[in-house]
Amino acid sequence: MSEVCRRSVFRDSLTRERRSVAVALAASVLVSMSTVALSGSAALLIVRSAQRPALLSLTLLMGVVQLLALGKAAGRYGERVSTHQAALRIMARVRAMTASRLEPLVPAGLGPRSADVVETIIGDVDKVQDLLVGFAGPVSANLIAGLCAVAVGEFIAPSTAIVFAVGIVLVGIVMPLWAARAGVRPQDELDQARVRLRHALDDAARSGDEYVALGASGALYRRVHDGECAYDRAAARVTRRTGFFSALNVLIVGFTIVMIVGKTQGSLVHHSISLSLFAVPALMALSALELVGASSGSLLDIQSGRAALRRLDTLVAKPWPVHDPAETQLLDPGSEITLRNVSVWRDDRLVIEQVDTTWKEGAVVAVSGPSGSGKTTLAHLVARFIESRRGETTLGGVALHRLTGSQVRSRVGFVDDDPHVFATTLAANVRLAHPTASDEEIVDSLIAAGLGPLLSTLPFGLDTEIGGVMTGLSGGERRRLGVARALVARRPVMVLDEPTEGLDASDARFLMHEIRRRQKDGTLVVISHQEHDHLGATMRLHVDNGGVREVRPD
Amino acid sequence: MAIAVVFGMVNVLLTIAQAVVLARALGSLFADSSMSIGRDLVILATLAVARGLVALVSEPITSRFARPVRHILRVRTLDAMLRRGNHSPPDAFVQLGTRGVDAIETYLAAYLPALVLSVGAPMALLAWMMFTDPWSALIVASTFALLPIFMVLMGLEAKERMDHSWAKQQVLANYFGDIVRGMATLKAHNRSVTATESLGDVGNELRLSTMKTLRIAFLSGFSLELLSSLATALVAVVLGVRLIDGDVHLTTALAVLLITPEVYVPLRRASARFHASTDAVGAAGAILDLLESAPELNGCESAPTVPPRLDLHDVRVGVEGRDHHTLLALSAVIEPGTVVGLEGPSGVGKSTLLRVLAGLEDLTQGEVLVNGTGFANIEPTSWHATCAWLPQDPILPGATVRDVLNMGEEYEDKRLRDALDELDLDVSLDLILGEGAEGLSGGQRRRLAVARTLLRPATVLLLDEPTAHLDELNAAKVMRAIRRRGATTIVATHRQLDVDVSIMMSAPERFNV
Repeated sequence: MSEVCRRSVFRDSLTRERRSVAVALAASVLVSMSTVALSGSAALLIVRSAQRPALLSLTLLMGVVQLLALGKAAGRYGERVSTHQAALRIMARVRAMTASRLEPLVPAGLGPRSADVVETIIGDVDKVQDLLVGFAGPVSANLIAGLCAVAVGEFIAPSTAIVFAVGIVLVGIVMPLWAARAGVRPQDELDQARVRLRHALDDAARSGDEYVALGASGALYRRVHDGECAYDRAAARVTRRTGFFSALNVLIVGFTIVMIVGKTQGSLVHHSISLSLFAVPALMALSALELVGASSGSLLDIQSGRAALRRLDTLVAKPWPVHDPAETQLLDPGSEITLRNVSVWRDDRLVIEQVDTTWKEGAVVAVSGPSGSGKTTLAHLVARFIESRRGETTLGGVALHRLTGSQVRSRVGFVDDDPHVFATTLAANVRLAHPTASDEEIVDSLIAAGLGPLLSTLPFGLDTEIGGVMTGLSGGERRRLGVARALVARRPVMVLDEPTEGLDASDARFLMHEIRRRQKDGTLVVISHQEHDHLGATMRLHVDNGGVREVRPD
Repeated sequence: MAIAVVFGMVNVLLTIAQAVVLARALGSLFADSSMSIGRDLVILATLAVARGLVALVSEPITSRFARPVRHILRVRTLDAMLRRGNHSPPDAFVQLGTRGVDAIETYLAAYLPALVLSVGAPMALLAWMMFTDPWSALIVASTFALLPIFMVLMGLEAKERMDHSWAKQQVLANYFGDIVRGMATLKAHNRSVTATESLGDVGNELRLSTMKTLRIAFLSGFSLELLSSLATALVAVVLGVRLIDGDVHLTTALAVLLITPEVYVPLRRASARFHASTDAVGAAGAILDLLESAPELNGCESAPTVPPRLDLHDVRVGVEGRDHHTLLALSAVIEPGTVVGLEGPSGVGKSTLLRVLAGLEDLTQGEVLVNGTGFANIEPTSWHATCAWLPQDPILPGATVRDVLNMGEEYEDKRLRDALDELDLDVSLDLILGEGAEGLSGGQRRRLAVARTLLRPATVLLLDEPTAHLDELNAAKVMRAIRRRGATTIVATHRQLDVDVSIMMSAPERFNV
């Protein structure tokens, strides 16, 4: 992905969906137009009738009034459908694009709290919808109301036109902008309070048991209470502001009408307006201003929508931990892995220092070392989740930095120490590693990974829904699931991070035996501090404080 | 809520007054363009000021009344979440506690007053119209005869939304969460791009189903809009004909014309908030379910303050999502202050037994006695203060290492430092952690969790794999620190650890060593 793709997610989506946006706008314009025309023509009809002409001369006008009434209602329906259609289309794009920009950041470059990331995507994208639905209305309504002011000025009573125009500019443009500016801070405060509440509830949902069992649940109640109080303060500020602006709105509309009626009288006295048309400016102004005023309220939503967009855009502006090369090189058939003088930093911390090692095809590499010594970073390096800043790592003789991450991972299978269980069936959870795998292959790999007993107790076998964060799978079972995935994927190089954690010794031995048997022709790298995981190793590496040294078997 | 209705009704009266005065001014001008209408214009301006005042104060005042309800609901939701335990996808819970509760607040603060007004305001307006011009009132009233159709449409919409919308939103929330949380796993298998693309498909699917709902939902809006604009047109035409005949005065006609669309405004407003109401009903249902599903806790005996003796009598625990034959039956006596190892193959129920003893789950069968007192009779809060539980996959909430260790308490830094040093964990108290403490390695994370557990003044320690991810040296340090507490301790483990007694748990056999 290039810098071009890092443009605003929203603007890009809007451009791509410009057709549906145009349709929505057109519908909105039609509705505004018929609304204003309806009240204008109704006023004209009444006043004309009061002059008591022949009934026949008014039938056309009566027909127009009826037609406008029908058109207005139908148009409103069309407007709402097309606006939502456009909004949802854009949202689908915004969602997918946001997620696709998160993808390069995982796992090393994603910020803290993935729940926040999720909530940001969902919540902010919803606000984007409000932004869209709220935007087409005001824009077209203002446009039409403005046109009416001009039309009235031109054809009916030039003296009222200026007042009308001023009213429209105030209600439709000045006030919403002012309100939007005044609304930035209270809206931010409200959003922050919401975030605090959400964090507290999120902690409760994820680790409430720990809070309870450690007697610390009071802390959660305090946080919810504090969040609620902050929310109240912010909400009070927001409603006060809303009240102020709607009051101002009402005042401006009221005074505009008063002045238009006053001006109309002047025009009548000077005979610059025909008697049958004299009520049209006031009534049209009333309905146009109402229209503009009603839709300008949604301009307030635009403010929070824009804040959401800013957040979405900063979310994807984080630096990538790995950069794919502009020109990719083809993989060589070999899978030998060599590290030459490699040093890796995480953020600004040196994690692996000047490592030299070669993992031949078919090797069984045992990596041991104390906790926190950099074993996992070594695995991330080989799976191309992170890049070395110094030295060179090669796969089949090709430098990793000349290969894409997916090229590397088509050779190197990596099982992390906490595989995610997706909220779907057991089969789908394994099949994601190898989409064309048959049910037999899946069952086979599950059994090899030691999940046979689990499979036999699941009510719907492979088709049992598992997943969610509380999966009903134990930590050991999750690791076995990770291994089953790796077995189904059949990569020439398999890197396992603590595969037997949470298993007892005999289970662990059996699992490692199965893995070694199936990975016979390929390379197997096992990161573990359990001695029994390292049986049959052809090479032993010890990682300590970022340094890696080979241990000769005694 | 009553205040909101009062404000609404005042607004209706002011609207009528405004229409009447405006019509009178225009009527006067029609009769004689040189007539002085200054008085009417002043009244109009005054009415505008009055409406402005109502707008200024009504929302800040009315929004205040739903707040206590929101507070209570939020706390009750949290309460139920904590009592029920971490069983369900957390995103759904968080949605419920945030948007769900907000939806109910909106329902109370906005929808209910609008609903009352949607009946009261049209009645008031119609009453005025009946008094001023019965013919037009009749026309408007007759359009209300079409209202049942509108209501049927609303009902259809409600059903559609109840069936799909709320559930859909939750499914979607979990789907996004799932993909984003599992992104690393997906990426390891070169599936992250495909999964990300599937988000686009899910979005489209959501759009299609939402549009299906909305097309029906908007029908009710359409029918209201149609009623209102057709009534305006009809009233205008009939007034026109009657004006030609001289049956009605222009002033009256203009006033009626101005008021006619206003009759439908409150109804439209209520129906616009109807979405909020169905969301709220959905959310309220879900919250009620949550409150009901949360077990009521009882028991009033206080927990012991010195390390107690634990008796397990033929205890069976259910392992979630498994058949019954994986249940276990276990009897054991755990003497005060001893360290007991709980061993057995994966999935046999070791973790579940610890959860039961931590008071997080119910026993399927059997009895646990604490110093001879039945477990069920002990007051839960005091038990939770007595025991400290280390889960198998601890989550370490908190921004820094200090926050994680404190977990709501405020220990002195020295104590925290000592707790870390005891486990040879060399990290700064100010180290900033991400979710799941991802700045730390697996072994550091585990030791941090152990340190947090051991900091609590507990006389019963329930530790699920405290030495996972640790090498022999660190594992030994952890075990020494545990022993130093002198608490009645149960350690679930797969390793050979330095324990006083080992209890073997195995599925088919029933007994212990």
